[in-house]
Amino acid sequence: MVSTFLKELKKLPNLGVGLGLRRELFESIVKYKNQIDWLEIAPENYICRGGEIFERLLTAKKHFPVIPHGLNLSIGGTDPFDKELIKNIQEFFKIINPPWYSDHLCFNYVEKTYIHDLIPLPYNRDTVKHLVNRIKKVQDIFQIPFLIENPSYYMVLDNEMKEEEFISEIAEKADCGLLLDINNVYVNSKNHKYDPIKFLDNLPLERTVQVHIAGHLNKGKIIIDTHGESIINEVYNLLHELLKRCTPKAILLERDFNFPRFQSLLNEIKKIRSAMKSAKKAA
Amino acid sequence: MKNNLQEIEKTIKDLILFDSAWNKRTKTRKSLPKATLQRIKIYRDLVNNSFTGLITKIYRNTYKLLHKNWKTLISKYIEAYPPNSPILNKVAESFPLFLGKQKEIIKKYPFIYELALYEWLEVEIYEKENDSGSTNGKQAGFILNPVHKICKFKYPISDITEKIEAGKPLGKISKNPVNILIYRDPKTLNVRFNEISPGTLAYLELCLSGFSHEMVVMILIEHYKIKENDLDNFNNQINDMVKTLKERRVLI
Repeated sequence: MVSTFLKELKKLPNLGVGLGLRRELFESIVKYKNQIDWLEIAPENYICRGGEIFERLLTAKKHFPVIPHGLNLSIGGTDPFDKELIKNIQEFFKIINPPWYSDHLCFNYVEKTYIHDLIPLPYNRDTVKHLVNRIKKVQDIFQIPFLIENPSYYMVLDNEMKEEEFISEIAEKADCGLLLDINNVYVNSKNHKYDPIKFLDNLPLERTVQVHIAGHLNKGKIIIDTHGESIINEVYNLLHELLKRCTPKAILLERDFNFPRFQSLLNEIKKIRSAMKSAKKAA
Repeated sequence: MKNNLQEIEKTIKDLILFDSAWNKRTKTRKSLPKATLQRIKIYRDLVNNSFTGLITKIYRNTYKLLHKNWKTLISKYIEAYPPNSPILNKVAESFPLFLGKQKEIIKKYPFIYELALYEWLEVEIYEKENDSGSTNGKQAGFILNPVHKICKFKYPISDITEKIEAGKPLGKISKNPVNILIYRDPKTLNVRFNEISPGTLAYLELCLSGFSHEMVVMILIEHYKIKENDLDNFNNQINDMVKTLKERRVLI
């Protein structure tokens, strides 16, 4: 069967290197707009909001392509989708008109309660089946390409499959795209002791539309994906390895707190661009 | 399988969010392996830190009064009002209601519900959706700022807040009703708090009911039994009040 998604993928815009839109960074983002290609926002942080928050969104939209990245769709949840959230996201998309949408392979909405974190799922064929159905529903609802992100996870449930096998089957059966978080690959590979390169090699990387890169917090026994530190060289190297294997449409630097001087973030963006160039040469 | 996944999700949700489930974790019929429970603790800590940080930031003055049992209080709150919105800030929305039911706290701080509500309203009004189609007060010749809330507090909540912020002792707090107009300045988009007199409150409420400015003035003259020789003075007072409300962008 020919993949509709892979056909669609060719038409998606090449966005370059972007930054997550955070209130604390907003003024600098606008000031240095020529050094940032696009912005990512979590719809949950903008839906049903007016005032300064809405103004920020409009200003962002004026200067940049704005890409939504969801937090609370609970794609792996067994509760029905939150109809109000879906409706609000649809309204929101009318404003930003995004080329694609993404959320995490996790659950976080149970019995009408939001956990407000990304909780991992058991990696087994039943979960795959469940997720494929849910992703197809999401694709039907929003009518734009949908990407699944590999989240960082700190606990392993009743797994019968390897993580990469789980992600690959879902992506292929649901015919959706990948948002590959390269820092999460690194964090998970350390926390769960696997080879990150082998992991990448076992994914359908041709489906990669977007990449996330960020810093993390090494607490010794465990590494936490905080988005509050600078990117370490090993993660840049992993990005380089990934970019030798595929050409994503957009790469995002995630920084959500513990903000450094803005110039440091711009330097990280430059390093990501260099990784893109050198990987292209190497490929 | 859906039932199985449903059960896993429910168990994990309860263990992460609720102390009662966590405290009984080893007693549950289908208790999870120890290693999994240890890992769930990581999520519990991440989520608790996120909620505590959020609630402390929003209720900064309430926190100053209740900081000793703050974490326990937040855990109890989450159990009583589980987060039901995908919007993170809304996790904190029912905290005033929760505090309003804590008898021991109310005994010491009878104004605690109002203090917390006062703090929450700053967030609510700051974030409130724009309402460009509002015609409230049109009959009176103006539009009342659509992003506003009028609250009738039983305690002098602005004074209490000022004292807490300045680190001054609260002393004995007695009931002393105040009307507070909380609104978003359409120019700066900042939230403003204005204590308003019963007269201003009556004027605004009547205008919102659809009366014209002239009708409202007549009703107020009747209500306050203004004598004929005081009419000019009363009219001037009303005009000054309207001017001030316009300057403050309460009336647009």
